[in-house]
Amino acid sequence: MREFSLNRYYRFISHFSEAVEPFLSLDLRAAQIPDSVRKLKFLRRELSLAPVPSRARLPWSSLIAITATALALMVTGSNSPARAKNATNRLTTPTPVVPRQVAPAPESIWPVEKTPAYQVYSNGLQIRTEYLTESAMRHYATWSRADLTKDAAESTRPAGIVFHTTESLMLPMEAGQTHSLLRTREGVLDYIRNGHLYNYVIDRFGQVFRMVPDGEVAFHSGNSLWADDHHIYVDLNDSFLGVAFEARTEPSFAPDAAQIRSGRMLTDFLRSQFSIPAANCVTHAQVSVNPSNMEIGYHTDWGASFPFGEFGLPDGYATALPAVELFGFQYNQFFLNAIGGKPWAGLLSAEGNVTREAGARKISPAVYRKILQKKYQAIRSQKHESTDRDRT
Amino acid sequence: MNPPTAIGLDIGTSRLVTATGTNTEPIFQSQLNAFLALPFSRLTEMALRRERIAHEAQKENLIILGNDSDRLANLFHLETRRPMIRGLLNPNESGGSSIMRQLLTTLLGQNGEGRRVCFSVPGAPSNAPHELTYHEATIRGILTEMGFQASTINEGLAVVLAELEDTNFTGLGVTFGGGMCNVCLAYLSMPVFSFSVSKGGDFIDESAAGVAGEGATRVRAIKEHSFYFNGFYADQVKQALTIYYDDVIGSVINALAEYLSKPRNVPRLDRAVPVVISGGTSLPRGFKDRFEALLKVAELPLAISEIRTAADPLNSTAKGALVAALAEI
Repeated sequence: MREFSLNRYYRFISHFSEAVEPFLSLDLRAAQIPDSVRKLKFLRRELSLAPVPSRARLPWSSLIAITATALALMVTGSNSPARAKNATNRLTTPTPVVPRQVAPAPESIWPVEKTPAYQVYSNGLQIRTEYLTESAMRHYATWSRADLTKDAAESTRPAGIVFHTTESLMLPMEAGQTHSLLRTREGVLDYIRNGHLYNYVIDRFGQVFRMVPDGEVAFHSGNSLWADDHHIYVDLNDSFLGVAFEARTEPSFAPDAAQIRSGRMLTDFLRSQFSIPAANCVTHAQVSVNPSNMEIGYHTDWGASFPFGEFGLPDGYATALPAVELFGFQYNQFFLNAIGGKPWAGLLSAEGNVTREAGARKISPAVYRKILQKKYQAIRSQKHESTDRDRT
Repeated sequence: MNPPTAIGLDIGTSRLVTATGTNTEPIFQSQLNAFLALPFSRLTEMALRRERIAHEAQKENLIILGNDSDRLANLFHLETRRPMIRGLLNPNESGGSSIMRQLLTTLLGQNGEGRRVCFSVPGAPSNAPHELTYHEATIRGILTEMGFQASTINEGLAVVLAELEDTNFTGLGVTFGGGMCNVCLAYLSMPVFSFSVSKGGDFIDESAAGVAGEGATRVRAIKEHSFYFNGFYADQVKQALTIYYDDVIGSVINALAEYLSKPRNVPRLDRAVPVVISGGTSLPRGFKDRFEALLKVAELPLAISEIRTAADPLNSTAKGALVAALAEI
């Protein structure tokens, strides 16, 4: 029997085209299974082809015929307009196969002390306000997850939180560096204030700065996308609060204990204040998209090692990624490298859902993805129309 | 309770091969997919018994099945008969399905006991797609009646499953069999396309025999024992074999080129895929090089990373079918 060679396989897949890139992760995972039967079972299961009792009476050749047609379409990128149209007409958003994880909402948190320079809350959170600046008022449209139609009412309450890193200079956390650390922070906060970049910043010492009021827009997540169980949010500046940690995203990076402590208190406070579901507390890497090439991960801050658990949140990386699942976004190797080399469970789950839904519609994942992408473009156009209307 | 067992079954025009055991250490058994009908006589029957040759008395004939039929055919200067032709059940053999059942019984036993068997089927021939339906349904019916849980696998895909584990079952599987040749491009174990060409070893034997004025059986013996690719032979039979081998290889490559000539059929795989060739007709020394040379001339719009000969060309289809059967358990 031929000896399994991972190196040989990596050389082999280095020639992958964009057409099959979404299957890169599947391919990589399969490559690590040394037994051919287990590998075949894995691939069939992942591609939703494993014979199951309800289909057991179907001849395998029939399954092959069905999948061959679907796969041929996927690989060739060919498209039947009639079939695509038919599929479009029947398109509804898939029910997440992986159930969304829930975390208990934080208990009520109330203001305890307020001065011109800071505010203190009942959970111990202290928010400094000396860098506070004004921006545009928050109001935004949402779309129904169920049928992708625009919701009738616009909202002004923050619907979620996007966690960022400032990607600024990281000096050693040493007593001898205190002066430099403070000067660096000052420069970072000035820069953020001038650009209205985040609603909150948590510095290296765990101090929380409110930069833009909660009811106003910070420009932290321009091209971005998220969805909870009910709504879809597009371009999250006006719907989500931006919370930045003075930090850099690197695979080995871990935030300081003080930052975690303050981040937890701030998250609890914001969730309590605006009834934000845990599912809407996400990292920038999870929501950032590039509409020009329909790939996720234009920004990759907190693409790995965000301590969801320590923030009282379920593992966000396990949530099926809406951009992939609902709108057919894809990703590339650069993104994978940026998030630590391995796809998140939620990314794989979203890809699996796309494949499954495509299979259920008897079209290829590529065709199904195109349909989803058109839906995204339509929603984005609606979003831009309403923004332009507001401006005029 | 015994662990579930699975069987891979290669239904080839010239040979039936079973693979049992595990995918890492499969056990192969084969039977010539042929029979010989001798006129019934007590003397012949006694001779067969004395030689311990499996046979069955049918009406006015004694039917000798499988491997023994070839041996006796040589002995009596007779031609064996085939229940299959060009990869499918032979419509000219009225008792073909009955013979097939007996042949399968010699390999699989009388009672399937619910075991899972995955048998190979060729890609649909473009000139006779309905014959494949009949062929598949008949074999499935026989196996089901014998008590097996039967499923099918495309022959080319089976070769991919047997030989291309290291590329996650991605690549082109090409079988050169006795009755036909099969091609299947698979991606992550799923067939992207597959087809068959109704030419194979039998075509080579018959065509070469025709021009060389020899019997097909003798030509086959020469082909199997002393033929190899050598450019040009003074020997007429071997020269004819070279020509008709080229014809078969060319037919497969032409069919592939024609299929890929339609832009919608060209897979957007910007990666080179391996090709694995298999089957008894691919056994002569130099076959792979000849295939490679002709493939190079065709300039297919499909990048090829390497061309391999299957580790065990006679058994790779059965092994792939075993892998598929085990994966279904």
